Amino acid sequence: MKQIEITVNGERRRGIVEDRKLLLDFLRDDLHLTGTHAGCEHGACGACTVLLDGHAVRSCLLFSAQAEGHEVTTIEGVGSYPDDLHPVQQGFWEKHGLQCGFCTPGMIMASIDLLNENPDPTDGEIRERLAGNICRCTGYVNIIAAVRHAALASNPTATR
Amino acid sequence: MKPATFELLQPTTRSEALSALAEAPDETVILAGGQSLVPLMNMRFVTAGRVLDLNGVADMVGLERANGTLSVGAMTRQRDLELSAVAAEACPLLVHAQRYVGYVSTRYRGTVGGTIAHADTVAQVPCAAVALDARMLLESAQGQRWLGTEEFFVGNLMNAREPEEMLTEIRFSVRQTGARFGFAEFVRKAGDFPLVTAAVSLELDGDTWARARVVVGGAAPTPVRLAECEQMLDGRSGLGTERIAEVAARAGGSVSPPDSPFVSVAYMRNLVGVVVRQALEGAVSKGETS
Repeated sequence: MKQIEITVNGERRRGIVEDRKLLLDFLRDDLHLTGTHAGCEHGACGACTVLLDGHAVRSCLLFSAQAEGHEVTTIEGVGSYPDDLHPVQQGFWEKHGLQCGFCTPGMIMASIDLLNENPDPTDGEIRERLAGNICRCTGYVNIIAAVRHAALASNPTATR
Repeated sequence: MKPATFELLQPTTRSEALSALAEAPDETVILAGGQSLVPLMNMRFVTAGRVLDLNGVADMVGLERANGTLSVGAMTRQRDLELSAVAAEACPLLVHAQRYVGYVSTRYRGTVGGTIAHADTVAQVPCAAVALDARMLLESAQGQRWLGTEEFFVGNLMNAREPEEMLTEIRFSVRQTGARFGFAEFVRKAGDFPLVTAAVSLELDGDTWARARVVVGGAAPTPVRLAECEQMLDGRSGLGTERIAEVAARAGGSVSPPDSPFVSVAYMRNLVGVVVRQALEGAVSKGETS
């Protein structure tokens, strides 16, 4: 067992966890932040994606104790409905970038990571960056459109 | 899909890690980036009483060019290698191959040492490592030894590490200025596990090729150098379409893949020829491959 302290969405959160407890499960079960989803639980689908120190990672492949002392951002921390949606969330809204919504938090976190690094990506760059996030519903077209929308909205000088 | 109970050990230095490992080497698994190990643990293909977490060990991280090699600390993140200007100049083949591994989010955590130690026969970085005559440093609390790729890669997902040892550093050869390289893989979905990989490295002696390396992953228990293909290149000049076709045709015939219901011998041999051709074409255009 370990006593851990992780900064989650800007707040210091504490817990006492088994060494084997995945960060995904700490977020969902201990902190009740259920926006991060358990899809495949083996790193293939991306539904569990969160930001660790600002970078998109799979929370199903991290033990909670590994996040001790680090900063985690979940989907709950990027914006709020209705008045303060993150541009990427706004893009998913405008472009109908989701159906069942199961992959969506992971898609949004991965997209935020992309736009933080590359504010003006081509469609090809968006597709490549989101290749690690699987969607069963949409066929991805509106997801790409949502990210493009977010890039244009956040970046007045975007060329694409 | 949850791992079995274990004790997580979190050393902060390399020597602390080696001591912790020495306490119970047969009961300890080493956690680097976790992108290969944790899926195995979540599915309980791997269960171990102790997990040695190296993510806090700062003195196993780093990239340095010296004495004709690029020295990479085993805990260097794959994404950092991918974006490193030093690495791109010293070992462009390695950096190029690295881009094919998984996704950006797996490369933020995955490490260069981890993918090499995992020793998947088809993996991209081990394939490039063979093409770059890489040497691996295995350390224990008692001492250390350097291994070449033939000694290090023992079988699919098997390396030569003894239980009390840990991979701490890899040294990749820096090829001469103007050397050519190419990398190709056959994969159904970008970022997914490929079926076969190929890496090519060619230096020049005057106007003929020298130190040719043609390496294929996925067609044998370890990534293998295709000696017959290399002999078709060393000492010869030029790499036109016909020469490429000749070498690629020989490639398929020089591997003995196992038969499987999913990938027949004939199909694998064909794929080997295709990726070797693509890697050679990449070498012609100085590394731009499909």
